[in-house]
Amino acid sequence: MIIYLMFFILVLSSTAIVFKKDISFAKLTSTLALGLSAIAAVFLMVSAIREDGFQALGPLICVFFTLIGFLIIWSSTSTIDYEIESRRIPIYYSLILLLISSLCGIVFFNNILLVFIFIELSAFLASAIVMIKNAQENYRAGLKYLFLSIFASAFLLVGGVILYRLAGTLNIQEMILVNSNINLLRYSFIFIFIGVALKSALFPFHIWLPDAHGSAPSTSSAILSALVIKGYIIFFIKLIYIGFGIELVKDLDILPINLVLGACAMIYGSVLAILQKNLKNMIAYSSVAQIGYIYLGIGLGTPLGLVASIFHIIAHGITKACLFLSAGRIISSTGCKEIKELNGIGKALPVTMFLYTICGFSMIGIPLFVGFLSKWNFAQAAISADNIWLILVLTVSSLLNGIYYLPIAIKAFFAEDESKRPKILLEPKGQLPVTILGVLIIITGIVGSPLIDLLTNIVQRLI
Amino acid sequence: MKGNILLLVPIIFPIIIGLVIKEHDIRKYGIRKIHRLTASMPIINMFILIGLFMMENHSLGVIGLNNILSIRLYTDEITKFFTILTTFIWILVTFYSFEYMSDEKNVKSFYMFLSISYGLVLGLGFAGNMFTYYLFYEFMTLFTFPLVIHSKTKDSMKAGIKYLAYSFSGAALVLIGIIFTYYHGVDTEFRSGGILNPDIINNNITLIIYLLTFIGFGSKAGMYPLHAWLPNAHPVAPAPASGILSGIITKAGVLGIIRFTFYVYGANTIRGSWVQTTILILSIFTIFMGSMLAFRTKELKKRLAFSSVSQVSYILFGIALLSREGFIGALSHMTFHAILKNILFLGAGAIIYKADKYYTHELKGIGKQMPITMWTFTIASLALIGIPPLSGFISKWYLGLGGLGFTNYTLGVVGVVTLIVSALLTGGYLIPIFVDAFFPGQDYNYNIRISYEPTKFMTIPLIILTVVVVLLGIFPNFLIVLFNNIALSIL
Repeated sequence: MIIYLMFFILVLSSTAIVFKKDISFAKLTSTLALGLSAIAAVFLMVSAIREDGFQALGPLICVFFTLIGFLIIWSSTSTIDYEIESRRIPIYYSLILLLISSLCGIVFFNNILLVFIFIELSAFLASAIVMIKNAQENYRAGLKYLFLSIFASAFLLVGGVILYRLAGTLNIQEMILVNSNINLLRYSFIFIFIGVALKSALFPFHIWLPDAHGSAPSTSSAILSALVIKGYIIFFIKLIYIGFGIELVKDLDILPINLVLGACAMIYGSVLAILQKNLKNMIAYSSVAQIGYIYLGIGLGTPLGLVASIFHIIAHGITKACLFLSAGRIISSTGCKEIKELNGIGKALPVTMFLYTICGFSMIGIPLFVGFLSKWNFAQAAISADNIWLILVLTVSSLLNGIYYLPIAIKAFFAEDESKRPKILLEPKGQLPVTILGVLIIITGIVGSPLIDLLTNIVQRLI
Repeated sequence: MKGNILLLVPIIFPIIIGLVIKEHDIRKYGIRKIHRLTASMPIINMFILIGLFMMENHSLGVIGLNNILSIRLYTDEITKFFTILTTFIWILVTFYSFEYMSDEKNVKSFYMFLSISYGLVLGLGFAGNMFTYYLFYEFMTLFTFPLVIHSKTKDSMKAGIKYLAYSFSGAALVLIGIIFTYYHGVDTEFRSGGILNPDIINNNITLIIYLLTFIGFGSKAGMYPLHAWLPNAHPVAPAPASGILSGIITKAGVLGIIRFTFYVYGANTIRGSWVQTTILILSIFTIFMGSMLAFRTKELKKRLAFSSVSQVSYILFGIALLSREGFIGALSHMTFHAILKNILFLGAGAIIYKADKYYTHELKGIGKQMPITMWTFTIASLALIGIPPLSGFISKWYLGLGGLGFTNYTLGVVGVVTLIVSALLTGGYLIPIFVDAFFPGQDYNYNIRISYEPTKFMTIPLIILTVVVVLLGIFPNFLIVLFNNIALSIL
């Protein structure tokens, strides 16, 4: 029941915002609505854990979506005026509320058809929040994103239809596929895999992501990177573990493809991120690499790997949101978009650059930050699955992360300021939500064990 | 938190002082207060450490990140040795830095990072498992980086980034080792004799991982093939920081290797395998290469940095022998090199600070102008070369004994010969400096002599360090007994 209450809150406030057309009302309402739905999601999760273990995955991710969404929206209230036209702000907030509710729908429901509808909805909404900025590159990026999303939906649809033919039911909990035709099953899985991979930007299907995430307003980038692509992956995980069953998927011999593509993405995304000159493009390419980590964990096909993946979904969500929001604060207060303009900016924006540095440390995997725990989980999962070479890939990838994240932080704090940037005397207000994200990075990095225990618990019941 | 919570005090205290310094307003209260804070902190810490070590050995589990990763501190003989040595040197370097840094900009941030680095280095000594060690190791890299780039010139920036790149690459290799040993260990805490699961000991992957970790820690210790940052980073840093980097920070890599070899892998896993041969060859090669490069370098601080490359590999050679004599030699060389290299770097810093001379050929007659500095420099040089009865002789004697007693006789002899050749080279690059300084030759004009002798803030630390190292050379027994005990407990 609570999930419907959540939807009700989100959709109602989204409608109200559209009708009221008032900027401050839109900001307040959307923040409150997401805050309320985050609380609702917590109740949802608690009751789900009490009832039955494996159903708790969806609600857990719902909590994550609404909570991070809440912080992102809260932070956006102080920067959004610089990034998009004021007449579009109310509609922007209502789009975001709808997007987050459709994401919760994707991860919560077990009915393929329902999930498919939510996926379609989220595709339109997600490309809309890219195109909200009135610029040529945004239209191009948004259209590319929309086109590829629809293309991916077609794959999902085909895969879903085959699956329905084989299973005779749309509910992934009730599917019994053990005795069905293995070839058809393989086709179905491949179609769904390609669809999900396209939507979640797994290498080599990532072509839309850097354009879309790089050009969108930073709030949109944060939501797209931290939340949207994760929704599809959670659906994929549920389909593998609840729908197909992991033993069956292992028989299909497709998991190694996940693994290899994930490993390639980790290296490829990082290398391209190093080559970027634009701050947000760099962060966007880093997402490509991080998605690789998640698929790597799924591809291992072991409980440890799955725990690592889900933990990374959350860890990367927090970190990437914080990164994009810091980048947004830099852009909206100084107008600097290029990396080379950021020399010495740490004196003007100490808190923002400090948060950026924390995120960088987390991405590199310095202990006490959440990225380290994530990396550790992957490494332990890889070594327990006798894939010791993956540790090398992990290490190389995190070193590459260091190459592009650290120099910016170093130059911001230690290099002399040579640019003719307009002088900023004070940091813009509204840094509390970003700071909360930064604190979350450290807290989950130091005391991550309750979360990992919870995930282990859920995953064990999934299998 | 389980255990003795007092173990946190010596680590947290300098970090808090560092943060206090950051909040200190220089314009309002002046620099003096910062001096008082930074100087009293390591002295107080010395008392805290001695107090802690009076009690019996104990441990503290601080916090668990997940079911196996936990931050854990403990004390043993090596902790005592490393932390006391570090603190002793730190006190003197801090006093020295007051004079040296008086001309520099951004003194506040320098002292802040110096204090925090000190806390983190002590954390290395107290680390009770590999993860804790790695934690302090990474943070130490991050917090010593600002010391390297303190002057903020293009060169120092470049050197600093190189330092970070090499250190992080090394740390990544170390992390591979940690991941592996945490998965395949029966335990995670340091235990003399090792904690590896017996099933995987005779396994090539185990040995390859050990080699990677050794090379990873070797990056901090300046061992080939990850040594290249050291000759760039040490010279560009301000002299007190160079002293710390060469004297202490390189030893963090050595300490990591000691912990990993004897307390995680266990000497028996490595002994007699191809890995032992490889690391011996690597360290012998580095000893020779470092001396050779130092011999060819004209810039004084850079020469000293190359000398560190060579000298720290003496220590690694001693460790890689995995024998009692080798280990005693390694630890005593660790002690002596830490002190001697500080004397040399601080002396070179005094020359730069007072006389503004950077190259060795400019130093003719400088001994007449700054006698105290150059006398300490001379004694330290002679000790580093290994002239008896000075301290370097003792460590090299034990290293030589260890090398000759090594099972692979040829390799042992090659090692010992390299030690001797390197000692000659060390003489070759250090002796001309002080000979020229005191005997400038015919064409030196004795009339234009200006006294460059620095103030007592600089000379007294140099004198104390020199006196201590000479005394340790003449009465090394208690050190040797201590190292012998440690060696007996882990071999």
